[in-house]
Amino acid sequence: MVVRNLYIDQAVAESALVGSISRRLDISRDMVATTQEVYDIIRASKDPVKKGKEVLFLTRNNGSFIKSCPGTRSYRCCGYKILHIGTFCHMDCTYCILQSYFHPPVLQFFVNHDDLFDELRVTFADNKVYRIGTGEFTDSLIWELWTDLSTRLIPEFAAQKHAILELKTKTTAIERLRTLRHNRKTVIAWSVNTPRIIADEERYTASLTARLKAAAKCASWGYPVAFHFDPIVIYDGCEPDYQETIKQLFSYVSPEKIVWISLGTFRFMPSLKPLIQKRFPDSTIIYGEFISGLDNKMRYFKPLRIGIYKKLTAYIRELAPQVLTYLCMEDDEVWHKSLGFAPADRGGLSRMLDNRAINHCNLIGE
Amino acid sequence: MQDSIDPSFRLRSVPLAHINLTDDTFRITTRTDIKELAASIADIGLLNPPLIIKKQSTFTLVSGFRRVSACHKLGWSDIFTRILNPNLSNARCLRIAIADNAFQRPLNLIETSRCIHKLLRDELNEQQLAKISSVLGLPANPSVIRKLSKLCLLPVSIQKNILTGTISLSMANELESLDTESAVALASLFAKLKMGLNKQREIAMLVKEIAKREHISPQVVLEKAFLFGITEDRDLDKGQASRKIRHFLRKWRFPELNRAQQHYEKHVKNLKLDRSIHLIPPKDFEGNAYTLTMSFTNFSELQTLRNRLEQLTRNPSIKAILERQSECC
Repeated sequence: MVVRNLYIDQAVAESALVGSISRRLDISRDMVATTQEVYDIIRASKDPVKKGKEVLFLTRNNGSFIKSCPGTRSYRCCGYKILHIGTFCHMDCTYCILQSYFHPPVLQFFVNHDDLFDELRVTFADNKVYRIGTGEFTDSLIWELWTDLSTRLIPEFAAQKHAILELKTKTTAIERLRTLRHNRKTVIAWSVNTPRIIADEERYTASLTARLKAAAKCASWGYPVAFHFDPIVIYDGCEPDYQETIKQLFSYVSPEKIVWISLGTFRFMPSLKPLIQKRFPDSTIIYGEFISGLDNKMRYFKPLRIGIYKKLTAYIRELAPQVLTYLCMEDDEVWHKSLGFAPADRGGLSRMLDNRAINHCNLIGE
Repeated sequence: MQDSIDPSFRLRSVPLAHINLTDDTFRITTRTDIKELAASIADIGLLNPPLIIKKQSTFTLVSGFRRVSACHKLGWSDIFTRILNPNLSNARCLRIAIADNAFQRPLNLIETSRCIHKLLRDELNEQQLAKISSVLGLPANPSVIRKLSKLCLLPVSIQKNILTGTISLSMANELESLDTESAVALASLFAKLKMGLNKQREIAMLVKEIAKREHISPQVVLEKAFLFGITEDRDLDKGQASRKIRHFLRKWRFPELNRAQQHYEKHVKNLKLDRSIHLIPPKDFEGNAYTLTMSFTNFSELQTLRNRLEQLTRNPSIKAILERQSECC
């Protein structure tokens, strides 16, 4: 989708970053005194989600930039940290949880980067292993079009040895990463899916082949790469489709370049269902066999999740037995039945991933 | 918004043959029965002359559709009417028709819907419509207006179900999203089995979701022989039939969950639990904790239960339940 309006928080109007972004975006711009003004404009629209993708709001983050990923007690969480650089996305995936997560959802970018980098340096000084990502509340690389954030973030991470940055994307906006000094402390990750799901459910995103080509390029530039099969969608014929996708993945990127591959089946807050029905009436993604999970999110019936995880794991292990594959937000029963072990058997999921980061990205452990 | 034309009228007798009875442009009423009204007019005369307006060579009825029909039935050749200024716009006539109906008696849902739907033809925005509705004694809340606006476009049989209370407003709104045949089939099922709203909602949701997933019409879902077998089975009472239909649809919508449920029930049966022991599985088999409750009234019963519990742990079915060795997985 195309960003049509730029709204600038009066409080950051003098920021050099705002000036630079405004110059790159040749669109109408308006100054607002409060965030509420932007919210009101979005809420007044017939399709606030669509509207939220068509405006860019430049403001400051008044809270903390580094947050813990919101896990739940009932399922194994990976201990990830979120670097909160902004919110929402101009791509339009039917299943995107952000549509109902923010009220209202707004494409928003925080420009008080001095605070962001101060907070990062404090975190680095902890001397603990951190896996920090920007791709939870937004796509990590959509901002490459208008900002220089990655060109500052990647070298910042490169200069320390305790944390890795994961940039998660469905784009191919990687060209500016080519010349950056990354010191293997930045993992470039792609959310991947079958070509059918990409075509039907992931509007305005790059094709599977384009994503894999971009991943191959990043790997050739020395970046560790990662892949996230999330959301895995169960449909008639999905297994051969995922098998083919995995084959294709390894035909572009060799296993030793891959830090990890995560698997997560489609899950959603109940509030997302009417939104998808309204915005994407042709999508059938919500009509799978979903039950209400222990975290109140809708999830595929457990044996179905186990079944698809077993298949995908087998396909991955067949081609790349050495790659660490993990499950996102699943319980020990699902881990055992799908992968043959529970995270606790190997020191916990967080530890497993930390160790992988230590070995693959040359971090110093605790 | 205001029409500058004088809305006053002239009282005049006109031949009934000059009134176009087929033009429903301003018809608000859903009532078609005229027997009692005709008897009353025959007895005491026409107290309130209908409102009409000249349109080319005939008169169009603005208000008083049943009165004119009753007079027609009585064999009158002329009728005393109130003739509106011919330069009045249709929009103005419509408001007169609505006010004449709405301030005489409470309008039912379909009549209210007709009023709103006809007003919407003037391409009013939400605020304008709310303002006019309020003046005309109609609901002014935009969300209520939205819910009512398309009821009058539903098939006549569903409109009748709405008027008899078999179909609620919220269910009617759900039916609006279906194709005509499917909506009629669902409404007729609800009417036949006299289902409450919650059961209607469950069935409508299951039917819609199965249809979406399978890329078939909701009507095809309903037409499945099994469903018709149930509804035509005279030995089943309405409650049983409703339960069977919902079970059938749930099984279709959630086949694996249903298989797991059957697997669980089969093994629970093998456990031969008596009334004092209850085994409760985790909801939808998502969690891992099963609950076992035992009730006893004295020490001897407690000892018996302990022995039963020991037997239970040796029964292969309890293992099959806990390990979830479901055939479906």
